[in-house]
Amino acid sequence: METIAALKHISFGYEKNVPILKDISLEIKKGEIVGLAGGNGSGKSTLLKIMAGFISDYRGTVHIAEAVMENLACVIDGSAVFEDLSVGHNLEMITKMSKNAEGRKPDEDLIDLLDLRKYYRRKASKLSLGNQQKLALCMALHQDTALALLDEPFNGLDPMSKARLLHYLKQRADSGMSILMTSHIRGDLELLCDRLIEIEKTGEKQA
Amino acid sequence: MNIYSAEIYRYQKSFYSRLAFAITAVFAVLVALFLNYVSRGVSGEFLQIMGLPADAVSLIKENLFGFRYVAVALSATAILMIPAGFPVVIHISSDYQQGTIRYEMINSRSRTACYIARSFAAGSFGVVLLWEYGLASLLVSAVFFHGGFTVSDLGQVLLIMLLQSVVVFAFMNFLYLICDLIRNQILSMSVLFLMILLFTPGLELLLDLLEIRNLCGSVWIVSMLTVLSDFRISAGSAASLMLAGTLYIVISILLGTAKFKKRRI
Ligand SMILES: Nc1ncnc2c1ncn2[C@@H]1O[C@H](COP(=O)(O)OP(=O)(O)OP(=O)(O)O)[C@@H](O)[C@H]1O
Ligand SMILES: [Mg+2]
Repeated sequence: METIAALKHISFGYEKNVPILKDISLEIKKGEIVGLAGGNGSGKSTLLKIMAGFISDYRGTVHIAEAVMENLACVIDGSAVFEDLSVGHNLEMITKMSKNAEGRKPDEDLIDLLDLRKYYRRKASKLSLGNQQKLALCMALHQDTALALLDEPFNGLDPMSKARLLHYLKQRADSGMSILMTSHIRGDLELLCDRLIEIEKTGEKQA
Repeated sequence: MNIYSAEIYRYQKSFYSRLAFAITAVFAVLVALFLNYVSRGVSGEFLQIMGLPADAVSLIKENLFGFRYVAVALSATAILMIPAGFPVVIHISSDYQQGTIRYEMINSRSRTACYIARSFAAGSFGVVLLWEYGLASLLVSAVFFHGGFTVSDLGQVLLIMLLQSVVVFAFMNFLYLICDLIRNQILSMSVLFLMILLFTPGLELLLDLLEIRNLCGSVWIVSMLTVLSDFRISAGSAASLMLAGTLYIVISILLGTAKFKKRRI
């Protein structure tokens, strides 16, 4: 199996002397769904940020092929939407941002699946929490996504939408997309993931 | 290029930039009403006491028609920078707060490219507002201050517009730098207001008292926008404005990318 992402001996702390991640190594294969578990503040989101390149002053090595990075999807630390644009304009904005010339479109199937189409003209800031999360998922995941970093993807979703998303992610993984996801609900991780990685709480500043 | 065009798309569609387009049109009308009142209802001596240069007074009192009206109206561009800065402040702070900056970063070739594209898009937005204001003023002039559209005046007005475009572009890049460093909506908004309103007549008086007015006029970007109220621009001052504008752009981009490269997002 082809390795999509390889992390070796990652250590990082936001402040000196307060390590958050200590010597983390992991590998993600093509089509694999890996779960990240750990308590609040253990550094799950931080690890995803390091992988996506949002934090660069860590120790250790991250190896992700360029082609995979170009087709990275990430939803980290809440649902990011352009608040003062409508839902339709949000999706159009993502299309315009894509690096390939023909324009990489959001996944229409996912938009239908999450029933987002009826909100197209609504301003994103006026969506409910769950619908904002759905929009963020639709903005991040597209047809060519090779690796998806999903931080609490089911946050705010109703049971029906959650079941649909679960099914969708499984399907995408079967057709080759790799997923690294976090969740506080053990059941979700066990249901969806091929493998679980536990992150231990290493250090937290004492008050 | 992809991030730049996406940002331009955002400036077309976002609520706050649409508001800025509307405010600009209203502002053009308000300036017309004000100038109409000043040219008819206020004596030239009073204007001179208020601190307007002699040629500006004669322009207002005797020549307020045709393209010359547009030139006078363009001296208010500094105030126009408040509605122009508005959407920039809001976009940047909400990008950091919401995390939408991450979409832009993932889709950029490098962090430097990402910063420059976003900063230039803000600059372009300011220039588009300036031209909207210029054209609206031209329309107002055709309706209320008609007569005297001569070709030689047109050349001067176009030159003023061109110089102002450079300075506005530079101002917006500078503002982008400040907002990207601060990242907080309320603080950036306050800085925007201070940058512009600090140079209202009251404070210019202070500058006079401290005898640093000329110095400020030649280095402070907001003052550069009002310098152009003079209808006859010399080649020397045009060149120095171009140079100062370019310096502002280069310095803003250099400082901004240096900081942005190291930022944890
Ligand atoms: N920008 C930051 N500056 C300083 N410290 C930070 C920053 N972001 C996170 N931290 C700290 O890093 C630690 C790990 O945070 P992180 O968000 O990665 O945790 P998490 O495992 O995702 O937690 P949760 O399950 O609550 O989402 C926390 O102690 C947090 O306080
Ligand atoms: Mg987290």
